[in-house]
Amino acid sequence: MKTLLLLPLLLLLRPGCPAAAQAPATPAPPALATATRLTGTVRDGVGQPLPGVNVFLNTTFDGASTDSLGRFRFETRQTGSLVLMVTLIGYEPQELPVQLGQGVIALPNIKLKASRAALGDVVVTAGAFEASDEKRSSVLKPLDILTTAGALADVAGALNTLPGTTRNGEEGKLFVRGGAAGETKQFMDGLPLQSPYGGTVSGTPARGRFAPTLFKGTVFSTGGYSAEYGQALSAAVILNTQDLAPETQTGITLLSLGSVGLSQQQRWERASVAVAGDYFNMKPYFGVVPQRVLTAMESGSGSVAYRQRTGEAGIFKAYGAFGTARTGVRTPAVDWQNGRPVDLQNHNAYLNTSFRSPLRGGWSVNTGLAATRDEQTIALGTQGPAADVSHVREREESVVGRVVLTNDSVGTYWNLKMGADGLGQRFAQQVRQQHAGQETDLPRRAFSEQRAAAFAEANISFTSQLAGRVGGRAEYSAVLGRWNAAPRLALAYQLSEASQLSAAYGQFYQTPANYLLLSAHRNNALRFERADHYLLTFQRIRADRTLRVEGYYKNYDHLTRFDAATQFQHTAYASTGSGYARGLDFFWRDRKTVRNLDYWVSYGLLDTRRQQRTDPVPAVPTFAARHSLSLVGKYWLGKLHTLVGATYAYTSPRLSYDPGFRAVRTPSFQDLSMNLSYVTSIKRKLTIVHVSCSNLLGRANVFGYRYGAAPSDQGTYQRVSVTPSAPRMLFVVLMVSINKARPADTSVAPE
Amino acid sequence: MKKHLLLFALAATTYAAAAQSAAVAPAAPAAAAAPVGYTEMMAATIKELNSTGDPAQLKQLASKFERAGSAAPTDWLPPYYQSYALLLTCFQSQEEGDAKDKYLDQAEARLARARQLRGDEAELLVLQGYIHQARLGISPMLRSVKYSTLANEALAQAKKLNPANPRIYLVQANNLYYTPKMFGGGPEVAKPIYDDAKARYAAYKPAHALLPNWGERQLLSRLKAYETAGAK
Repeated sequence: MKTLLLLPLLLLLRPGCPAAAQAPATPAPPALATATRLTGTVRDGVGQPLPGVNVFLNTTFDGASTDSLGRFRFETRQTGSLVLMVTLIGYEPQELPVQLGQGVIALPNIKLKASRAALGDVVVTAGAFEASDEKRSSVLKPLDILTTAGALADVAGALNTLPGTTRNGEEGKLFVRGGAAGETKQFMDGLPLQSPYGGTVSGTPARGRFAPTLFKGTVFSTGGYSAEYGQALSAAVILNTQDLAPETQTGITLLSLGSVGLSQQQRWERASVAVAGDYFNMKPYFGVVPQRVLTAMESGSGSVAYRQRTGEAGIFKAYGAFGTARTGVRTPAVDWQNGRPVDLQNHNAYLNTSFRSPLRGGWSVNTGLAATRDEQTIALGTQGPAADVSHVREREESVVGRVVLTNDSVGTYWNLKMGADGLGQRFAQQVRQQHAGQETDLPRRAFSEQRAAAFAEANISFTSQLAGRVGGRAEYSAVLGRWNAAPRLALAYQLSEASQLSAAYGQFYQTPANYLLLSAHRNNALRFERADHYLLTFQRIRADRTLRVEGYYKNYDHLTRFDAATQFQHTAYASTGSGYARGLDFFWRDRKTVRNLDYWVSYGLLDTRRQQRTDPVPAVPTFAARHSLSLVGKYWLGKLHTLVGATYAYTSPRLSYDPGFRAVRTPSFQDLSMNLSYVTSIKRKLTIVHVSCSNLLGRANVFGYRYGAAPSDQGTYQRVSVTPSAPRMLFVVLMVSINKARPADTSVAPE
Repeated sequence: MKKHLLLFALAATTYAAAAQSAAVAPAAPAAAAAPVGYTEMMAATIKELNSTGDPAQLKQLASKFERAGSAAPTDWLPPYYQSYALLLTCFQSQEEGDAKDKYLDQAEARLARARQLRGDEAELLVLQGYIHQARLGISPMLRSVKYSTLANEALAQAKKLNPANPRIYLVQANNLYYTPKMFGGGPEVAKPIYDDAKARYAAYKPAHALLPNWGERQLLSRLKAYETAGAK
């Protein structure tokens, strides 16, 4: 104890008192004895000289920076023992005790070790594509969603130009790595979206319910994602909404397809409100461009977003939206000459509130609550005496909530995130049948579900090159009466400053889809569907050029199967399906080589088979294609104030199965879409004129086939093609922003 | 014995501190615990900082301020000037955007340290606003909306705390100067703010020699450029 006390005491006294005692009687500055010269060289772990290293005597001003050969040299008038500090950003600082006042000190061999990466220096990138303007490493920018030709300003439309996806033009949803649309879950501010797409009839593509401008960042994870997210076998789309609206502004949007949109955002210092509404009716457009499938499309929607800053760095968000839509189609059917009429009405209301704020001791909280109500009524045409469904009415109500606590400073080299979420859900379906002119209601089917989950996850940086993410998630589902535990693991190894190798493994569980649970929920043997992911990724980002190659293997288990003949009985269902998907995804983006040109190439190779639902044997699913290719380009013509975009998409033939489970191949899908955005000003108001056209080459794409119920004498089934509603879609959009504080700027690309 | 030692230690440090602060107090009261020669060295380094535009030298000066911070660990000025030197390095560097962002990351970390040491909040906010402006400059097309708002917010807050600080007006005028005309900026809009800044510089006297006093030279050369442009 005594020595411990003495030590700091000596250090304290050293520069002042002893020197004063030794100095001559004249009141000279202390420690003016003899100058000590310090020289030396600083190198890194492999012996390369390090320039710009700060070498100095601690508690003094004396020191120098190393030159380009790692050499330093300085003189000091200090005496006694001091500590020589050797510091450089990115390296572990070195402390060397030196004894001054005894001539030259030569230190030719100072070595600095690279410091363990600060958290976040090496980021696990396996599986994830990020669109963000805040992070340098992001592959996409948020506005790519608006400016990608063929994406039609739809989140899923834009993500479908990334590798790992298979375009299903008749659905318009995301199909990732051999997974069905339902296996990709979307999350808004961390809360799962129970109904992410607008109501649609099979054969007409769905659109996301939420405008892409609502989000400041999007992460599209095609596998191996964090334990924070559950209930998704294949992919997670993580949408983070804008914080405060940047400024007070009014927007008007006119779409030649027959739509008017108005928006108003108001900004105060610590709060903002944004209100938007639009009405859409394609009837006039149908008069100009004849349609094969669509007969009516009319919708109205409105939303309010409120943001309030709380305290130093907290924010409260509330977002409410409602939408009502009517879609009429004549869906391809063998027995109907001009297609079977189907009329769909959808009413949707959504409320999302969230709050995030720092707490004490490095912790921060992120919490939210969301409610959805979705009601869908479908009227189907019937003919002939055979029994057929004439009306379907579905209603889903759900509430989801979650709390997540994060601590970024638990340790120097690791952080911790943990949380819990829950869901309450009710789903009901009423089907009316027509039989020989007689309409009868089938028994109403319904189920309710309560689900609870908890997760914990840590990001750890092991060395300056190696980082990892370790987590786990546990979930209980009341409808299944079962629970699951899913480990998730990811590692990232930095090969050089620009390139890294990542690997990820995880188990993913999902309760069977709503339509299956309607009858199956009484079946005690029913289980979670399960997928295991294994990924290996190489990524290289240098100077606006990105290369990513990812190989993956996915194993499916406990997929739900049922017997079509007895599908209204719970005994028809069993969790005995299985399958696999494996493949390679390639992505290259270059924003640099040609000035004002930004392009990317995505290619996905997919090999998948599964046995699920009513499949008699393992087979390639109808929504999977072996090859998917997207070429996306954007070119800014500065003088013309115009951004030109083009997207070419190719999807190799998909399979379709007739009632005898014989596979029929569709032709390959090919599409060339172009768009033009012309930036101008009308009376000093920023105005964007946007022209978009799909399928410029006029290719007759076929998405699949529908078959007759009975085979012909030769054993073949009569079939009709499912095709796009019109060969191409051409439209013009006019967007005007009225901003009093900031007049229009037409000199930059509308990025 | 232990007690005696402790008392003695306490007395010694108190005495040393008192003696030193008595010696340097008029020049730099903030650097009470700093060693002898600290004030002179700081003053010389600040002078050097204000007279160079060479990125290599700016980096060395940032290192010097880091050393000053080790000599006077409780003074907010070394990390403040280190942050400012790194910001200038970013402005002068010919490197890629990523490297420039790294300088700004460091500058923000040093600024946070100066805030921990309870530096002059208005001065820190001006520097924060300036750093936001530098971020914007790295990728104007993508960042202008976000960072011009952030910069303006920081400057507005600084103005609330100390409207007499001339650097607020200089940074604000620079912000406007480089904003395209179509967005309500441009040299004409910025001119009156520069004039305002000039008046504030004339009226502003820092309480002691080491306190931030940069920007006047930049302002005067900008105003001179206005004059020559107007004379043509």
